[in-house]
Amino acid sequence: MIRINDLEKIYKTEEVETIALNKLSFQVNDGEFVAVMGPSGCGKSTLLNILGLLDDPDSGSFLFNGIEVAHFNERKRADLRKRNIGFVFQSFNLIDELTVFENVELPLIYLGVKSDERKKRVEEMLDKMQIMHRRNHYPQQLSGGQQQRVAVARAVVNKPKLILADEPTGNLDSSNGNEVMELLTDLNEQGTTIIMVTHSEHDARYSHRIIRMLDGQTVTENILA
Amino acid sequence: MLKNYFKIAFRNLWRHRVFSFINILGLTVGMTAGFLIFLYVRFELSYDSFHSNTDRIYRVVSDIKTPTEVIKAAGPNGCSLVSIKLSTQNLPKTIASIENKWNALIPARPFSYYFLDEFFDKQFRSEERLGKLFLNFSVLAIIISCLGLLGLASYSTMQRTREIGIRKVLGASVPNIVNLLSRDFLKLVAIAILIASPIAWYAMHGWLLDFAYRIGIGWWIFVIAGIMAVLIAIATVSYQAMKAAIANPVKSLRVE
Repeated sequence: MIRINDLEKIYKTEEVETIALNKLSFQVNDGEFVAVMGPSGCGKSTLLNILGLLDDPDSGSFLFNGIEVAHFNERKRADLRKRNIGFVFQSFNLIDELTVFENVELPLIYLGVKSDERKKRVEEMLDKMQIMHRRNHYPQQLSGGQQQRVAVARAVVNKPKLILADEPTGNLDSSNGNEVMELLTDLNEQGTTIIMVTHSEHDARYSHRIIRMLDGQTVTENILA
Repeated sequence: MLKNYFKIAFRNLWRHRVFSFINILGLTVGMTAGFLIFLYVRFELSYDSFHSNTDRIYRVVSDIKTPTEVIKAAGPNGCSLVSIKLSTQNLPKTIASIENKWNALIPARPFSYYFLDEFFDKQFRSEERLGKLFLNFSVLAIIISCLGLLGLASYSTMQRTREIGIRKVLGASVPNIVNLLSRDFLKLVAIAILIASPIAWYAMHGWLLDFAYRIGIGWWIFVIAGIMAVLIAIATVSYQAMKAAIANPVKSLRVE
């Protein structure tokens, strides 16, 4: 599904040049669950942003389903992103002014799904995530675990092929964290490819493969399953 | 301590320099307009006040036919202003004759005169001046409002940076975001138009009542003014909206 070759990303300020990704190469197959680990500043989040088509690499190649997307323009990236990729963030990133239902509905609106169909799909998803009773609540009224379940519901409501998770349990206690990891595992078993950035060895053990990074490069790869 | 406060205040102004610039500019234009209005009102209030008995000037209309009768009616203790309809043939002679009669009947009051058409002309000149003044102040008001709107737009965009980032991650396109941000401001403009139209109609109607021959106030005037207001607002807000929509969502989400 994903193949990157010699990917480079350099952040420049007036005086300092930071190499975030240094000729990074790897591949992720359809249906895989990959964990990316490494110390802070090793380039994990930069990698996730590039894989999620939120950021451009400076050089190298990035094939998504066999199509070179490294230098797609903004419109094409947004289009590919909304059809194929779901995001789960550490800080949930729900929109405070929208209810649970409206938050989950958002990706479908941008996909141009009709109102009746949207309602059906959002309700199905909320039911599946066991937060249907909270549909009219605002994010501030929910616990961390519930907010992350809403975020996962939002990420998968448009049935993406790939889910990118940036420390999805980082702001949760262990029981809520485990619940979210179970949710991700379920989604993976149903065929969704997952790439998860994490600091937690415990969470990483849910994956099939762990890629360890240091200074913008892959150091080791452990295959777990 | 005070020095420290100023240092931090200046740093903040510099960090949001576009926003600060817009606000300071808006404040400057607003204050200038305020001063101008104050000076104008002061000038208008002082106008004509050099007549010692301003409140005792009257205009008398009567159907008396001959100048002698008119002047008699005015009398030595009567009014100081008399309107007379004259034939324009041999005007200097007629005026000289009126003056003679006036001086004979009311020698205590000096004779001075003016023609009504000249008076009307002068009055319309003041309307014209008022029109010009209104135009200038309207332009000023529009500039101030635009600056206010621009400030509001940049503030609101700054507040919604994270939301815009999230929406972009979820697949919102640049037009989606521009639409989202502009829509809110267009609502404000629509409300402003709804409030302003009846007030403008009422004021215009009152003003037009002063004229014997006047134009009607068509509904289309308000439609055109409304469309212009919307276009100006779109032009004002779109820059901020575009800037926010084009920005990289990674940056806005990282701020958190």
